[in-house]
Amino acid sequence: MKKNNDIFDRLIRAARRIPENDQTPYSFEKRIMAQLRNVKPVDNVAIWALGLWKAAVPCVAVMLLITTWATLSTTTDANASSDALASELQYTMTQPFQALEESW
Amino acid sequence: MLAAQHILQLKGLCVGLINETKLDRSEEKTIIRRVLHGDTAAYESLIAHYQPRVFATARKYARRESEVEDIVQEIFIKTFKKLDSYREEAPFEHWLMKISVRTCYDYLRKHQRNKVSSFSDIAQEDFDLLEVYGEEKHPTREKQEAINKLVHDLLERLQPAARMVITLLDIEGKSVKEIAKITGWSVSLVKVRAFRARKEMRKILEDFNQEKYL
Repeated sequence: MKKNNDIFDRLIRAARRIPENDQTPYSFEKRIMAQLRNVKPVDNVAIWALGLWKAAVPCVAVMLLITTWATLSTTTDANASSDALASELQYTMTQPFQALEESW
Repeated sequence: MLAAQHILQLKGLCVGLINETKLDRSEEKTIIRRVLHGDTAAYESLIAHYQPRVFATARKYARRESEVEDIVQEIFIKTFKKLDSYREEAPFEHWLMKISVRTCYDYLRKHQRNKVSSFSDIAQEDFDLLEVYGEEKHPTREKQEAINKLVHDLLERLQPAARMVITLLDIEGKSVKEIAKITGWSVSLVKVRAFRARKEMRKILEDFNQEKYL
């Protein structure tokens, strides 16, 4: 263990002594500038528009699914639910008057 | 052919020296503002000034010159794209070095080479050189080159995070706080990774020693 620690220290010392190589290839900046010509500037409006367009399709799909589901469920339970709805409506409409009679 | 290569290297060196001319901080700010206002050509002077520093950083993590050039190119393109997010309170160099180190880390993660358990590519004599390293005050050029190669070979065996932390903490001598700022890791994560990295490196050295006596 001690030996490994010692070798580790020597390794780090050796790594520190490696001189930095900061040589640059000839005209490297020109090469990058040529690449940058193809880089388009960031357009926030375009990013938003693209995102909204992408979101439009799933939104329409969800809307259609919900509409279909709602239509199908109302047609199958149409008779049963219409009675319940009528009595519920009647109850709601007459409830205030009943409460009024009780308190009078 | 060889002469032409030497001329090109010399030219590169000259360009490097010319580029080393100090760029005033106010000049730097003016250039950045010009680039942000659409004068893309002004960015060239920033590249020319900082490329030696960026090349030196990239060479610590990649060996092949083509890979180094790819990394440097990516760093400068990333910097250009993110230039509008640069806050002028801190020096541009610090911001650039942060992007450089993070790009190098991404490179290490992407190109994580298949780890070989055998140490066949490491010469025994080179490892023996390391065992006596420091006892000779002025090692010969050949010995120094062999040791440099060995250091690279051993560092390449580390996981990307371990390599990054050993390079920044132990080799470059940066503080834990500085590393946390550069890498975006928390201070405690840097400490944990440093502990693990040293352990990993010691394990590699131990494995090599064991293989040596088999």
